[in-house]
Amino acid sequence: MSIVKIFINGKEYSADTTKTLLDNILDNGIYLPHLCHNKELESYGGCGLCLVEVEGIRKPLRACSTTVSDGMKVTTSTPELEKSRKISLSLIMSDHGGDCKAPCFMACPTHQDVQGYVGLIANGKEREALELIKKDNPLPASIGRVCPHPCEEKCRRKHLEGAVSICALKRFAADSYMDYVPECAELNGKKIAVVGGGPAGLSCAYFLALKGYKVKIFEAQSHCGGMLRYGIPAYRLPKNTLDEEIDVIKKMGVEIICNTALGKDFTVESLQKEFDAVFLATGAWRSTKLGCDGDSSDGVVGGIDMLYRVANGEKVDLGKKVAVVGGGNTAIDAVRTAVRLGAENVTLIYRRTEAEMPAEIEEIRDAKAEGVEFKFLVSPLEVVSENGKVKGLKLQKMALGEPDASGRRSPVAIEGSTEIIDCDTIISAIGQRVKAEDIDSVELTKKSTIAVDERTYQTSLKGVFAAGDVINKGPDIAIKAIAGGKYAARSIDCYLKGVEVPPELPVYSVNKSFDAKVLEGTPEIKRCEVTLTDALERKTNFHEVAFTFTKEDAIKEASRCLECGCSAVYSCELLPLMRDYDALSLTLNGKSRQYPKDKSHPFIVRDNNKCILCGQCVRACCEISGTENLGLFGRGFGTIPMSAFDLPLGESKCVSCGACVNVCPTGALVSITPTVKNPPLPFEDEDYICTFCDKNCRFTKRSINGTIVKMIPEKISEVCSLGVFGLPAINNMNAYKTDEEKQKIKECILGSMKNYQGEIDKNITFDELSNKLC
Amino acid sequence: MAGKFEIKIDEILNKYSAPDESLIAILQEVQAFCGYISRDAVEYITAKTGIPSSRIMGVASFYAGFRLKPVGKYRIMVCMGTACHVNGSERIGDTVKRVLGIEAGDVTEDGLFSWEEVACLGCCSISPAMMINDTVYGTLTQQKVIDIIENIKRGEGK
Amino acid sequence: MRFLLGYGSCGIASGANDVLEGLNEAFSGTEYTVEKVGCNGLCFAEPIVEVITDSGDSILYGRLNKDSAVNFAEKIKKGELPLENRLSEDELKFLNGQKRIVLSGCGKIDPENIDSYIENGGYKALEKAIRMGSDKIIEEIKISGLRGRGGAGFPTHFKWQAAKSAQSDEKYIVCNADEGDPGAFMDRAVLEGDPHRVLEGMMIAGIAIGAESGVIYVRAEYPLAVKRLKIAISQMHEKGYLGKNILGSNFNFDFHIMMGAGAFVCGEETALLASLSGNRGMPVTKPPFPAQKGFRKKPTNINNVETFANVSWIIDNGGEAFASMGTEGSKGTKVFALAGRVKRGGLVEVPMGLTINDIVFGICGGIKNDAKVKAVQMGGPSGGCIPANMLDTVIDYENIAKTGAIMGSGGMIVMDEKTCMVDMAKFFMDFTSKESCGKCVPCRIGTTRMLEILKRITDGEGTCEDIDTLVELGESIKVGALCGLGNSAPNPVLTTIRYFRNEYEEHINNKCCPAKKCTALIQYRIDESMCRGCSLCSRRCPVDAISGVVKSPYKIDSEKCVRCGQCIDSCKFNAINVLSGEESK
Repeated sequence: MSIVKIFINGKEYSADTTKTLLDNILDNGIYLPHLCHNKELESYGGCGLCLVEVEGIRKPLRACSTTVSDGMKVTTSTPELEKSRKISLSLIMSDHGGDCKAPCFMACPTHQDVQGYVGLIANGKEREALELIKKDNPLPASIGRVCPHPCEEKCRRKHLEGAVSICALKRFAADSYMDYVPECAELNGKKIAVVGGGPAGLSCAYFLALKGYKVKIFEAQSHCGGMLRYGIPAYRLPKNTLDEEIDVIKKMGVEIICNTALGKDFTVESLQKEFDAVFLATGAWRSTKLGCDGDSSDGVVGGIDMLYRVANGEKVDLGKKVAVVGGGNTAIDAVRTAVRLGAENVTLIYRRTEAEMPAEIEEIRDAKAEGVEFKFLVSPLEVVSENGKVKGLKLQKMALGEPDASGRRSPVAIEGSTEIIDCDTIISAIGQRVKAEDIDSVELTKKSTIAVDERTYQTSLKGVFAAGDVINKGPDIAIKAIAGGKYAARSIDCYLKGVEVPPELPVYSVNKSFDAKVLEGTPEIKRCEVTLTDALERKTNFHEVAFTFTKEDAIKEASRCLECGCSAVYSCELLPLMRDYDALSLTLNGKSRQYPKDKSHPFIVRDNNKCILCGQCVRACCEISGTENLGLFGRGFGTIPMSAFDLPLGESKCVSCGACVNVCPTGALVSITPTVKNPPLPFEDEDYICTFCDKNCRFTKRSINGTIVKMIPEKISEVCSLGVFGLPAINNMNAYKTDEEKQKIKECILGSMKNYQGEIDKNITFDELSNKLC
Repeated sequence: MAGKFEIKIDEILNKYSAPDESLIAILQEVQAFCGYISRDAVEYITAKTGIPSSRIMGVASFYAGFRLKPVGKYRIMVCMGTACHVNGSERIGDTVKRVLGIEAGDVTEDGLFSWEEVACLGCCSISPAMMINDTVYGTLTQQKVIDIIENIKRGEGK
Repeated sequence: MRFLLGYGSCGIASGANDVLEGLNEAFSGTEYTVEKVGCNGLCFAEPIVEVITDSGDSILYGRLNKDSAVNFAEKIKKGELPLENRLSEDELKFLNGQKRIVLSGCGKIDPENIDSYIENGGYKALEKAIRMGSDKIIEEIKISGLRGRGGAGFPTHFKWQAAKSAQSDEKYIVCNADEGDPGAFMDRAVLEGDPHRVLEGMMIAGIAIGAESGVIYVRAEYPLAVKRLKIAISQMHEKGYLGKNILGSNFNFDFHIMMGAGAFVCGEETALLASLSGNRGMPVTKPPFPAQKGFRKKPTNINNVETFANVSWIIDNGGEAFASMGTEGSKGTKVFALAGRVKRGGLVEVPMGLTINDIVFGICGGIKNDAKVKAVQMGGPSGGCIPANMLDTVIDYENIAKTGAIMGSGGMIVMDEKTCMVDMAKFFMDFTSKESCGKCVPCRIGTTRMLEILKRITDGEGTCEDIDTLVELGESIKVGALCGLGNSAPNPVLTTIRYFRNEYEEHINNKCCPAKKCTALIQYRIDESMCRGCSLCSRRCPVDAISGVVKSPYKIDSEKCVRCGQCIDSCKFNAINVLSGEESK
């Protein structure tokens, strides 16, 4: 080894001639992007990110395969080099079929870590699951009952037997620990006024309280909960469940003042004087009128108005025959409430067919079971009344035409084809609007909603924010309101700290060309449906109809999760580079490779879709392990690392040395522990010295909530599989493993022992091994 | 007991003192004998030489000259060189595909034909060209291709 | 009287065996015999027989078949020199202006007989080189100005000197005969027609760098070349040109042939070395250079076939004689393989410094059917398209590089107005993306993405940004790719954008392929005034897209039509028009 002087970006450094230029640059504390280099492996030159300019040489050089010489002048960053890096990263991303986060996470407006809490439930840790849920959702017990779950829409298990019952699992976790109160930061002295105690207001208050703000909610009604209380019937969401969740928020220090309304008891200006920021979430409380002749007749009522009166305990008489117009969840709530109020003949009128109904399938199913009649392809033409009182409804028959902008086929009237049905009450459940007259002083949209900035939720008034049904596009589902509250709270926090509001989600890689074919061969596990009370029994009262999962059901259902989100999302080397270089901005759509995940190995999961062909695993398998189990196959774009004949890792010559998982820069090769699921969660690292033998190898011990998930060796080439996989495996051993599985795990733990100092009897049983190690 | 297959591969392996370095030549001979590089052959070479199967498969899958599945009795190689391209080799390929009714790389059901697009055959002056087994056919037209294939079929009694 | 039959791969493919059979039958029992020689480069007239009269005159007969060969032989037997099948004066211009060094033996000697090579002056240079010794050889090569003929044009003496300077008990000479440029075939012709010339050159290089072993890495697609090399090597052993103490000196040498298995990237030195070691042909970063650490990790000098084929001439005639030909920076001759839409395709060896026009029009007679030349592609997948108005470019390494193309191995594909430049760019990108080894990101993914964009454009789905994206990606790949294949892969796209941007824009903006080549953008239509209703096209159509009543004009159903061109080929009345863009609406 000889030491020379080199100049990096104009500054003098000493360099070791036995090391590559890249290692010298990194050792001198200068960051240079690289994805295919590892000190323990021979140089490769694949990723092309470590290009540098060397004085006297025309073309940029790869620092990873350049030797240093005395006086060498190196530049690591020029506009050309950065552009080249950006393009290389864009190219890598265009062929990186990885989902940093699962589709369920991406689909949820609040971006809850679904894979995380489902995984924890699967592992029997519902308490940790709830703690995780409560990081993003203040009302999981309520939402777990009423959410139309956009997450399940995107669940990839849908391509198999059906989506994972994510919503019901959330409810399970929430119901298990209703008394859980998240810890709040110390009060920071700032006060926030929240107008409206519905889901958006409660959510905003909750997240602000977590951050140490003193929050006061002003609620116009006698109770908080908004549409969750007054729009959703009790048989779906019992009032006491909602109350319990609101109580938790109160326990977090949030003050709630009921029966106090904006425009009546206070104004935005008055709040501004008293508080550091104001949050408006007054909702959308007005039913849309039918819009046909006679829609003002006695007996024509709004869906929301009717549900409100019922929820408020008023006596409501709808008569014997009730027609409800609309196809959404409110329409279903209205028909099922009408049934429970004693109407004998309840008909739902919808202008398209069942397939186009926005209401959830389960809700439609349950309403049918309760005797509701559905009339499709009809639209109200005229309310037939006698002496101003509803007698019937004249319907225009429709047919489906061309798909509209939303992709739904629009109904077209069939000329001259009408019919009349008899009814005592007509309920209009075709939408809600904002009562704009109460809102003063902030700018409104054409729809009379409050206009807010999409990212910051700030209104036209500085320091005044708004979210929920009252803003921009108007009413939406409850979880959307909760998301609004959550992100508005973050924005308020940023506003008061004087920092810029980050985007709702940082940039993540999404596997756009996912092909369900890769799921072929996944063992079938039937979706566990929520148990309901008998239809004939339940239609007579407002008692809750759905039961919470038992723990056994919950674990079984949670184990169906396909774990689409990347296990390496918190350790990936590509993700931060992709963000730094904005590598998704250059869209290079094209063919991509789609491979099924290989889960055949007890400690290693291989997902070639995420492989960026850095070649490190193949080199590690050859140079470090000596096994040469992994090799590169094919040529050009289709090149891929795999074992000979594409054998699954678990059936290949793999000796479980762990070298490949420790060099992989992405989530293409990740280590797992033998638990049901391995949810990717933020981890903690600490130094660790292995004491299995006298070699005392140094590791970084990575754990999540105190559970060891990975052992990262300081020198990959010096450790044995006992050190790499033994400790996490034994620590996480799942009690349900069969003897056969235990045997396989033991074999893998003893797979690569060439660096082990001492003797281990290969015939040792799993339990003996386990005792010896712990 | 060693079968014909093993004896032949042993014979090939014995010719090379450094099988590692001669892997490509070995595989070429094995392919000449078997028609393609079969998994059995790879596993046998691994067992005999210790060269990991992953490396053998890596080499076999890298070079266009190696085939990992059987070919037809008549292996049609349509030249995709530049001169042939300029003179319409795309249509030659399309014609072969249409007449045989199979995609490039596949074998007809009767095992008679397979076809593939290959790199320049070096017969640019008689482009477009194709090769069937060891014979080169040049200055092709679509009709000529049809006639050539029909002729072979007739010769095979089809 | 001698009869030399061109018996190279393309001669055989054109029917040389039939001609041989015919001649042999007719000549049986006479004094006449037919000598099989390599390809003399007049590929356009294959199969060819050269008659050398007793007075030493040469008369060329071409486009023979079995019958005409028999006729020819019968006339010869009668003492006549037949006029039929003689190449015309015009056609013989092909040989005027050629200066043959590399090709001097091709078509003249029997490649399967070492004596034929020796009679023509073979191995004299080797004897001389043994006497000269290493330093003088390298000096002579330096004086000659010989540069590598494989592509990059690196000075040969420089590489030899580097390999000579490397200290090692073992060194190697490697001949890169993995001629991969789809459109170049001079190496094949030389290996098939004059293998000893290459072997002699390699041995002289061996003396120069101190190597005793030569490896020839030859394409498996050239079986005849392999066969003739093997024959040559075994005859060299018999004659004492190989083995220990060659020609009584202390110089030892032997050859080893390795067949490539089909990978263009193996033309890249480090990939070739990986392949020689029995591995995947994936390039590695340099340094170390092969001259330091090459085959079997020993110092190795790699040159291509044509480079080695120049060596014996230089030693024989002196470096200055070689340097007297050519331009300032590019000395000697260069062999070009002419193909595409050119009238007389074949091998042309000329001194450096001629213009492209000199070759295409002067030697090769211009464009087929006297059509208009559009561009000449030089350098294959690593090169570029030089437009018609730049064909007065002087051929040497520097001037060709200025156009954005490269000299490459000397493939010259001539294109006329029927050649779509976007399609050509796509063709080359398809080639390189398939041949990319897969190691580095810019080449592996970059070429694939560029190809996808080009496909979109030729499918009529291109957007305005596509051209910019292609340039952006191309420039980036040139900088970021690991090896020569990747560095040069964007050249065909970048040069066509540079010179034929309007064609790209036509495809994108007007959904029009001016060359009427891109099937997604063209339609076939029968000109009713020309159609005689013969029904031939309808019968030939593979998809039943043409219908009509005999003796009245036929019609093509555009929906069904797959634009295979069968109808156009079959129509005797030129009644079928190809339309694109506005006119097709």
